[in-house]
Amino acid sequence: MKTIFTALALTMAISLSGWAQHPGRQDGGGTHQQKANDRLAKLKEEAAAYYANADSADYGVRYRFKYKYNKAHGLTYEEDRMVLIRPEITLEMSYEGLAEDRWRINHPDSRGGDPSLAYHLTPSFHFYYPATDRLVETYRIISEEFKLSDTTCGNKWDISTEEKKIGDYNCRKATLEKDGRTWTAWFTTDLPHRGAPGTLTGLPGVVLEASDADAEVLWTFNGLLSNEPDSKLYIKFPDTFSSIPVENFPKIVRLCALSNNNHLQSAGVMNMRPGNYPEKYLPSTGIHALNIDNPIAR
Amino acid sequence: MLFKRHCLTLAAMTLMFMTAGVFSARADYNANYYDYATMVGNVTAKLRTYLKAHPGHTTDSLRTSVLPTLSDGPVGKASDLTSPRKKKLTPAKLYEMARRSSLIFGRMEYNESFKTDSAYKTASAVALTSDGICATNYHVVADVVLSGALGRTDKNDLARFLMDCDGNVFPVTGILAVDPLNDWAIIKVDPCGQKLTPAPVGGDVPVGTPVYCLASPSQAHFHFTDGMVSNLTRTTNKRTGHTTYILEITSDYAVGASGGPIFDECGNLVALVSSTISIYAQPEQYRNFQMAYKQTVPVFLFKEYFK
Repeated sequence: MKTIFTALALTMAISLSGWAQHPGRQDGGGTHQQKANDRLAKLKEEAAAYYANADSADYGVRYRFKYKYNKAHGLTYEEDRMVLIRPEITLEMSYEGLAEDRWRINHPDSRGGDPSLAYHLTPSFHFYYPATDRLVETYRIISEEFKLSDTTCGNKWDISTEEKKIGDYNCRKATLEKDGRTWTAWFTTDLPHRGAPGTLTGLPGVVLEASDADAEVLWTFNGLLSNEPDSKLYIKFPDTFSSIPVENFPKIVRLCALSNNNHLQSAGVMNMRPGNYPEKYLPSTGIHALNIDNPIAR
Repeated sequence: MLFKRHCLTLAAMTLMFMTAGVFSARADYNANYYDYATMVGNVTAKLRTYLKAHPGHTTDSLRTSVLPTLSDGPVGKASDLTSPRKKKLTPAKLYEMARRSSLIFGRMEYNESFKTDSAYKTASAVALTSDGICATNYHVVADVVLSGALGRTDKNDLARFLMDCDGNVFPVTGILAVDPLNDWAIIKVDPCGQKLTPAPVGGDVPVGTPVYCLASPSQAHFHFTDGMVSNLTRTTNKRTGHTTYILEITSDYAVGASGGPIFDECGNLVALVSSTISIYAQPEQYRNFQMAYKQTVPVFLFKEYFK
């Protein structure tokens, strides 16, 4: 009897000790869940504040971008890009930014996001205004927004009668001489408004596929994107641009591209801005981190 | 009584002579033993004076000038570098010569809590020219380069400096070229009216070549170790296409030696200290340490910047 009482007393003591050390686990991790919910709420709050004056796209087109950037070593770069489309403006950017946001929303209790997404991100943005043919290229390094160019696009496309089907959409062929390459684009009018990857703008429809004559630079259609209540397709033109002269941009992007995480952490530049928006992950510079011997613009 | 007094006097005199002899002998030895810790301790006062006279040579001015001064091309002429020696030296002779080219890298900052400034050692470096061009690791100056490139400042970060084995202090005034992937940086210091002792710059060294490291790991200032070249490796990143070159050695060094020089038997600079890689039998738990090998930056990478 004495042994049973002793055993019971010991069991109770151990249980109480365990409870004292992890009081939040009593309801199956309720405190942990609460913290995750708080983080998610904060994330949404930050997003709402950051995107307060942003437009929302009607829909988006997702592309797989392939680029034979180094002929000497036979290396190809790939990245998921997307074009977000409204009648008056389109935005071409990395899809990984959106994927990262959606990943965070679906995994609010995880830290740091999915690094494999940000790893391939090129934080370049092309804002295109079809009515005026204006194309603005911006680039984000951590929280610094650089305006790289603001020009009239002026692409002189030669539209042919050749047609083919991409997915469910009827497309027409168009060609263009630009940047020392001969480009072929397949665009459709089955989808509303206008949209095109990169600087291949100006066609009267939505480009679903584009490549140069040597098949070294290629955008292939990879599906449509729709607004989701928790993760809208925002078209956010930067509120302000960096005061750093844009002439310094090539050096900055190269330094950030080649430096590793330890370098960036030691410089304290990762903690320049609190919060998560605009997307706060390591400043992967995607295409700019490459040792390019075959530039897109020859 | 008189005899006793004489004895006491004799004993006292003997003791005096013996003590004087000991101190005299110690004074002789002192010439061969260096009080580097005091030298580093004196840097604060020297830099304080320097910064008063040169208020434009702070770390923030270094940051501001990073992008304008950073070069993708040559930073000097090949003739600016000291030609390699051909005669092999004894380790003792090599140490004496190389010690003058090896430098301590440090920073001085203002501590808000203690309301005082202080200079301390963080890494190592080596002199390449007598007028103040030196080499170290990129990771030693990366914080200045990146924060400067992105327009950040830190008023409490007062200065970066080099110090030679005699305690002379040379404030860093520019970062001339960097290679983040291969971990080297060429920097410029104010020689403050003196001439630095540049290391003769060697070339390729095959595996098996005896080498010496003369750097300043942790508190072991100007520490001299020997070894040999144990491997030469080249890696091209399949995603980015960039190639990194590593010269592995067995010569010992540790944290604080970053950027310090590696010499061949003739006293020629053949590499810079970069990092150590530790190998564990159970790497997931960092248990059962087995060996550490040393990765250095081969000299040809930054020698190319002198044409």
